[in-house]
Amino acid sequence: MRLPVVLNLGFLIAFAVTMALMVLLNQQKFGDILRGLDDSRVSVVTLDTSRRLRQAVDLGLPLKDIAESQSIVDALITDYPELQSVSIFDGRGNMIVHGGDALDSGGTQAPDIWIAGNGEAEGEVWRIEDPESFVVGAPVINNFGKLEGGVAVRYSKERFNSIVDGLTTELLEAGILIFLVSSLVAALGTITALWRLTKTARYLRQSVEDLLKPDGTVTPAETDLAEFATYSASVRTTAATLAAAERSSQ
Amino acid sequence: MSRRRRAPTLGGLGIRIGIVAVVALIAANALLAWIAIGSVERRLEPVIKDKAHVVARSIANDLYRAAGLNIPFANLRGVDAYLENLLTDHPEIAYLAVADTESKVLFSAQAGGSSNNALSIPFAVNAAEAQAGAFVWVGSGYNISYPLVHEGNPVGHTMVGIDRGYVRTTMASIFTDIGISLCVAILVVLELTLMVLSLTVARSINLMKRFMRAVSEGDFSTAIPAGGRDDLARVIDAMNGINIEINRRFHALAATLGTGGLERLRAGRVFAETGASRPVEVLRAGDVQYPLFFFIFGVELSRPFFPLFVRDLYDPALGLDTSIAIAMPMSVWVLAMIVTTPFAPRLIHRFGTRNTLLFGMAPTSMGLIATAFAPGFLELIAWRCATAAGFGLVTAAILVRLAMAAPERRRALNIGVFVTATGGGSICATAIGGILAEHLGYENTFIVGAVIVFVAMVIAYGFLSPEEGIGTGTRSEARIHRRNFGIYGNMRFVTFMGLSALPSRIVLTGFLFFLVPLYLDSLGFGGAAIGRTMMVYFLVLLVMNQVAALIADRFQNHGMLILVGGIAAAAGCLLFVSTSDALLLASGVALIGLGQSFVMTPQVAVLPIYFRHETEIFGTGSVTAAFRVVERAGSIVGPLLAGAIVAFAGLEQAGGLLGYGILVTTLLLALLMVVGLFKRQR
Repeated sequence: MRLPVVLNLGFLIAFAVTMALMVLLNQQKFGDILRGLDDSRVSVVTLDTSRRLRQAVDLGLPLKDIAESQSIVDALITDYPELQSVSIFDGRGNMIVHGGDALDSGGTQAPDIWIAGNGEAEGEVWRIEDPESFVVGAPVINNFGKLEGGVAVRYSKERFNSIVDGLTTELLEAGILIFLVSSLVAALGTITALWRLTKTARYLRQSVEDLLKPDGTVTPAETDLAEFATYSASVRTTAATLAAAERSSQ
Repeated sequence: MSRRRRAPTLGGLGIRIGIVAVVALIAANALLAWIAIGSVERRLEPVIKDKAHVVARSIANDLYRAAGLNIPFANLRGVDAYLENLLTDHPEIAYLAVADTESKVLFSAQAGGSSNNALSIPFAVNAAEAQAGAFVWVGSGYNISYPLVHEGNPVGHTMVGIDRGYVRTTMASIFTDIGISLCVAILVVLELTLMVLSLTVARSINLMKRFMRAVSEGDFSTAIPAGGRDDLARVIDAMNGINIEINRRFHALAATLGTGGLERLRAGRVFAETGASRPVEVLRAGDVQYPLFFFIFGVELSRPFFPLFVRDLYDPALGLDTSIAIAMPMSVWVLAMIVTTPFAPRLIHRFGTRNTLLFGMAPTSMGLIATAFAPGFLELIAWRCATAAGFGLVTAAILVRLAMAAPERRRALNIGVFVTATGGGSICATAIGGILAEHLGYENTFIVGAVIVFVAMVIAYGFLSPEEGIGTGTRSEARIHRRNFGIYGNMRFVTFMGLSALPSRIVLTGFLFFLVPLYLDSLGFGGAAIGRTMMVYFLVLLVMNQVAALIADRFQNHGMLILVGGIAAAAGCLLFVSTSDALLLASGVALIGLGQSFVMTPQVAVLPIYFRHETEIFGTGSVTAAFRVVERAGSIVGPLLAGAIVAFAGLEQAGGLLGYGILVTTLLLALLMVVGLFKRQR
């Protein structure tokens, strides 16, 4: 392989790895920030809803008897179109109010994983991720510390994925373009830097190849390079000795 | 003879090509980073605004309850604290405020805890602009006003200010990672440039020079081994062609000429009479620099997270304290290295340098893969032994090869090749290892390490000829047999080792390699941040090693340097465990690096100065070998000692105790120097 090709191949690999790492790091960090912001936004909504319900249960109303529940859920679904569903369920997981997209498990019972998460949350928000959505929930606990039920807000991963994919595509497109331009610059720079060496090598090769030609022309390298001059002298003398021996043996 | 034409020098060529590649690399990545930050900001802005809406609405919901009870907002208590509390949960929000209908701020909280008076909120908005339930963007668009409307009447505003620097501040942490990745890429590109130039240009030119010299002296029996199809390889082909042609003609004549005629041809000349040409070889120290760089890069990739990896894998049911269990594979590593190191000269003698390196690199690469998949602690120990055995063999073989490649006067320079390659590899590995571990996981980072070691194998295979080193390398073996153990009975020597060599290795393996990753992890640092912090040590060591050697040689003050180094290392340990600030932690590690660089070189140099009589009695080799044995003992004891102290006193106290321990041994050493126990012997 020619020298510029070997060098540039190495550079291209280093460039590609660095730029791929940069796209990957940006994508992951962006994903983390976006996920954090989304999660935090939905957590505010969820805790807010949980607090509103708690005010009612603190007055002694069972969760299922709070008339306001349906309007709270409907308002959330209207105000925040990115939410897939909002559910209010009692301590046993029986669904009290559900708005938005239907759950895979049906409409009467909250999924077991929600009930478990709600039971272990100790007043804080709980989070669950399924293949299609993120779920943020918060328990509803009355002022005697009894778990009355919970609120679960589901929002789609689609929005998150499409935003992250959009960034990745943009960075990849920019990265490929920059990679091509920078590779071209590196290749041109390398070829220019190697030009003198390549020229010297070609001229040296020509001089070596001309050494044994019968016409005995003095090659340019013999006059230019001291080391080559002693080398060529030895070759020419030996070739002449061999030629003389060949003539005498015929 | 005139010399009009000169071939370009390798250094000049390397610098020109390196600059072109590095400038292109930096410019490309800087441009991509700039595009990325713009792209990220553009995408996050609406998300942050959505979040601000939700927070504003949440505050409004709480305030409506007061309005519902006909309590004027101005009379509410605890709203400032409530807003402060909200701020802590939402770092992207710069301030929160509640204002009355006249835009007078009633309650507010600002990030950083400023008082109300200091709060400057752009209240350009007036109540008339705000429609019930609608948000109003004020000023730059980073301030949101949410009108509070109760029973159709405006009662005030909730104001939310978004921190404009949030995205950039949050993204800054990855720009540190990107900066480090870029530095590593630059180092790799420069190594790559020099490697390719060395493999092709320098090697070919040296081979051609040696070949031409041989032919000039009448030796036509040599040939340059074929390698590549570049322009220089074609010159080599042409030169080889000349020798082939001359030997062909000689062989043709040998069949017809008589003995007298042949003797005339042979006069002052050597032909390849057996038919096979002797290969021309050039033994250069740089040939092992590149495989060593990549080898260290691959192996050290796990340095920033290895203790954490062991901690996650260890099952407490095995009965050992977790801290000691974490230390065990690190101590076992040194033991396995010690076992294989003496085999290096013998293997080189029998199989050559290239094969010995490959014998060592193969188990290292496989050991790293097996470590990644180790199902339990005992298996992990076994695979670490295999990896370390290979590591010990490779490093020893390279040191032997470097000693072989240079005459006595250039030996220090060749050892410099070793220090540069290991230092460069360690810097790159600790920095990138942490980043990879954070993003790919520990196991995959081990696999990446194994792949890099495999790259080192390919480079070693390409750079070194298979015969090189065969029949050599037995002198060191003989030296080992002649080693005199009587030196260990010399109390003065043992005291010096105990107060200097042993503590400095304990600092390295016990504090830096064992305690630092665990302590940083306990502070919540991620893999990348741990790698970054640890990288500082290798960086300082690489730079300061040379400086310390220069100072020691120039001022002949080895003892003072050892004391300063000991105090710096102790201060570094104590500073490190007394803070949680990233910059101070890095400063602590830098101090340890500074201390180690001041201690490491003078420790060896001081042996014939302080122990002149002992050197005369036992020999320089025995004294130096005894020093190395104590160093290795320190490397084994370091993690176990640190682990035991951690088990007993906890991480922070263990770090403090180690720091004070180093300080005490250094002060004792200083005292003994003052009373004249350790002084220049004449």
